[in-house]
Amino acid sequence: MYEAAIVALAQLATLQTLLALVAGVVVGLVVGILPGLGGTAGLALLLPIVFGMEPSSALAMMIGLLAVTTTSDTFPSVLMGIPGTSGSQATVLDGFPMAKKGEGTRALSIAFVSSLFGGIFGAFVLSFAVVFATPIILQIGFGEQLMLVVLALSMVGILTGANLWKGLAACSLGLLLGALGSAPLSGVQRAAFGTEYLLDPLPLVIVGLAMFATPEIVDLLRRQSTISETGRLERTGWAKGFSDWAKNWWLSLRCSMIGSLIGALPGLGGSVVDWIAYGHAVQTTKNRESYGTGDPRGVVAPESANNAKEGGALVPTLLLGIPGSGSMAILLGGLILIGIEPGKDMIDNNMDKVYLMIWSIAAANIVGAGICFFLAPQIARITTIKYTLIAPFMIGLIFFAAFQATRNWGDLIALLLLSVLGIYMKRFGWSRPALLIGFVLSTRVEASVYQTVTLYGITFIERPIVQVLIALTVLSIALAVFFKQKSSEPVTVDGPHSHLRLMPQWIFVSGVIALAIYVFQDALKFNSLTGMYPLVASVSTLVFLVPVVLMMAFRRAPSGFFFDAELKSVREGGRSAEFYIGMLVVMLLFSGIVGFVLGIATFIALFLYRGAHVLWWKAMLGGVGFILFLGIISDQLTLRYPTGLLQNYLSLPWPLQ
Amino acid sequence: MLSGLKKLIVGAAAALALSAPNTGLADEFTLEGQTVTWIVGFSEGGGTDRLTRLLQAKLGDHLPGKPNVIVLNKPGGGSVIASNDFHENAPNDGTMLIMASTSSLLPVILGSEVARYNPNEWVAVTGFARGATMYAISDDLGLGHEDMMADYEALKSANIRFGTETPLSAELLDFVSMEMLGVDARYIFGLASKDAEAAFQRGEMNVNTDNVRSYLKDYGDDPKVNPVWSYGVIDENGNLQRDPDLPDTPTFPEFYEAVKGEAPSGTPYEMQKALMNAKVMLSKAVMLPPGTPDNIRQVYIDAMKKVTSDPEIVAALPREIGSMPLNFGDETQQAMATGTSIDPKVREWAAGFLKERFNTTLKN
Repeated sequence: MYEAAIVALAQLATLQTLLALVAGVVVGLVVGILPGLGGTAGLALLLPIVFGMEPSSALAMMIGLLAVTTTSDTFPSVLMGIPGTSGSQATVLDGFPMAKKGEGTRALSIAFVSSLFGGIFGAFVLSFAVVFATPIILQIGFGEQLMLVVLALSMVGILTGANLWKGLAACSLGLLLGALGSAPLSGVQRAAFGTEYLLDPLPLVIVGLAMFATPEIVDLLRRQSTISETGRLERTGWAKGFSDWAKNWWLSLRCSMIGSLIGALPGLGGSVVDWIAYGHAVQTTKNRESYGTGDPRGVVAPESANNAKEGGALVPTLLLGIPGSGSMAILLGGLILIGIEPGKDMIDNNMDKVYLMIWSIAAANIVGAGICFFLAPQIARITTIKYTLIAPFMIGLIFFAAFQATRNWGDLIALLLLSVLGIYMKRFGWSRPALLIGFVLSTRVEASVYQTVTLYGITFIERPIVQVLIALTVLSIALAVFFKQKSSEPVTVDGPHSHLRLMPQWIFVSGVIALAIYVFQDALKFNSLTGMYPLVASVSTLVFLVPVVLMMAFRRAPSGFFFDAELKSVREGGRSAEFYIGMLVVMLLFSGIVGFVLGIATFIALFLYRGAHVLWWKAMLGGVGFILFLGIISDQLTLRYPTGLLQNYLSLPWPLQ
Repeated sequence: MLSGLKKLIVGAAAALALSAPNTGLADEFTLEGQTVTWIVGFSEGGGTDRLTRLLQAKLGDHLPGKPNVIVLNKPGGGSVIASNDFHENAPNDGTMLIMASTSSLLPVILGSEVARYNPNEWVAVTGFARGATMYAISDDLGLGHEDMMADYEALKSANIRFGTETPLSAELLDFVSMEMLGVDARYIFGLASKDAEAAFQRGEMNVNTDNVRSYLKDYGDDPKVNPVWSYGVIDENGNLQRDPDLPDTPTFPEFYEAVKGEAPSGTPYEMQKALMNAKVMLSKAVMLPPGTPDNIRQVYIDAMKKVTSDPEIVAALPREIGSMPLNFGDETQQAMATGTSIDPKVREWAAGFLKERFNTTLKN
């Protein structure tokens, strides 16, 4: 084992392999920064190159790419409030408020140190796990997986926001959104609104963008001239960020453990790692008021965990040949293409290749974090640029990101519709993290409850690991209750919690009820394999809404149940949220005529000209620039953007299709 | 107004096509300077995608004019969305082809309404056969693999646990086969093949199905895990033969005959054969859009023959599909016809079986 590690280090230390590693890191950083693209897209990009390459270099390149996407994805999460990959959704919660306070560099610095630490910790875990982890992983059966999901739900239950009932309803709404489209147990299409798009469930990336990115963009457009409220960037962010991490090294270590463990065990999947780490951070601190307003701990936790996850996810991939995540599935494909077959055989005969991967993870994390540190001061300046100049590109970028989900017109429409939901959830004080967590776990909840009950009945609780997990769940709930959060905002008649002017909230709640009823009546058509889950999800949504509706109907005084951000302050003549929603609708309709590329470019040019008042030729340049960006990406990734009516009659040259 | 314009354009194009001299085409057909798009209805990294990318690297070199060949992944609905689009919109001028797989054929076999395509109208280039087997943890089920009759009795009384994705997935072949034998199993759904495989490794499941090549890689030298039967391979005379990679394992019909005393027949067996054809003989298939002219079809068949005899590809293919012979052109088209043109009576039986066994219907 020791020998193999040395042999592997020698393999990595050749110029050719190192160059391949750095090339992989650079591609990984780029796809990490671009929202919607992550390890999966990046590896897809490498597959044709990797085929026919020398195996060590190919390995270093692929691992180098995978290891750093969750390092650079912090840029959009922190600086723009747009999750760069689904692994850094939770980073937005505290990272973005820090950027708004002018502490963008400090937040980035915390994130990169945490990422680096987490990444190396993941490699460290992997180096031991390859020797003894197989029997442990094989102990995690359906019952254990179910309890892992329950534990995860209890850990993130703390993120329900100020009002418990609205938080629970939001979580149920997430579970309900997970019920739309093809049923995982039967393959039968349910609650699909008659569209082919919902042959599959809604893509996570779209729900994530709609919950965080669009509401933030609209909000910023209405409120502020730059992302940083002061319009400046503090200079000493670097050192501060590092000392923030050093103060929280113990949290960083715990979250790295959580990350690598969840990555390695079957049942939860990588996209929930950041939320669990964030929930854990909130859960284990007494004074929680500062979370969500730019608390450094809220950055340390998810960023340590999401890089540590990669090392963990390699454990089942290498030991059993069973991919631990979506990007691991494609890595497995890449490994087979270059003639390496993970599994028992590889552990027995190719240990040097395993150690090459471990070294590569560690080296890639160092190189990746280094490059990010180097670039950050420049990139962080984006927070001091007039926001109307950035916004149209952000909008273009999130629609581009959404389109990566299934590369279908439906992606763009789904993003628009869910964004409307996200915008009003923000306005009416509904927890968007709660919805997202419900959504992320929905498929796991549905499958693992059914599988456990079918196979074991209630006897699954006799299994020892299940009992440990039950104890942890109880502890987690106890922690949540023990450190109960106090409501921060005063409940007054002239504040957002007012009982007056409830009509907008009535309309929103009615919309949610209508969706739940639609899913409910649709579920009645099916057998239990298809219909049971949507039935339970819709009924629980409705049940959690009962107190909300009762309060709205009968309470005649301000209450924590009521919230409307529009009542907070008198606005100084900005546009309404509805104006911006209308703008997006028009943009999509226009794209339906001329295709996405021309549609979004026209939108950008017009927005820059009318909204940001730049000179007409500069505005045009902005639009053309975005066309070029889309064109280059489509060329590299073999994409075909959604076409409009125009393309039915005219075949346009690259990059205008 | 718009549709009028469209008609006009289509009409003009048709007139142009008619006036072009047909005879000269075969010699002049070239893809020089063009881009050939190879559609994959699944995400990157899966089996279908890997095989396509493996072949893509060489295909351009063997097509006239050496066009640029790109792979376009269009995941969704187990390739149904990509297949619908391909059937309705793909240009049949040799610039677009699709890599179909068993899951592209399944909705058609079962007559599901989401599939608006008929792969029989597609023009076949190459089919990749890949052996399939059902294997088990022998001790758990009391299987000795010596005497088929004894194994059969053991199977009938065993507590079989079998994890699969949905009642309508490619494992329907295994369900129907077990139904024919009167063997009952507990089916656990919601498990993608990697999850079912993981559950089998944990021993929570004791029966699993996979392609022969993966079986051999994962369990070939594990004495505890052994194949119960294979689904065999159809030779050029149309007869079922044992899987070349599992020469000691009986095929399903062999097993059936040994334990039931007669060769399988009747409606369920028709269904079983169609599903076997789709799963084994057309595990993957390179297809051109409906109405592709013969000369273009021939160009592609020739090119694929050259690609699949390239030494690099020959060395890599067994990793992806095992060692079964490939089929080309008419042979592939014939397999497609056998696999997908189902007698309404057989389909009716399948619908009844799904309804009775899994309470699942094909139409809402």
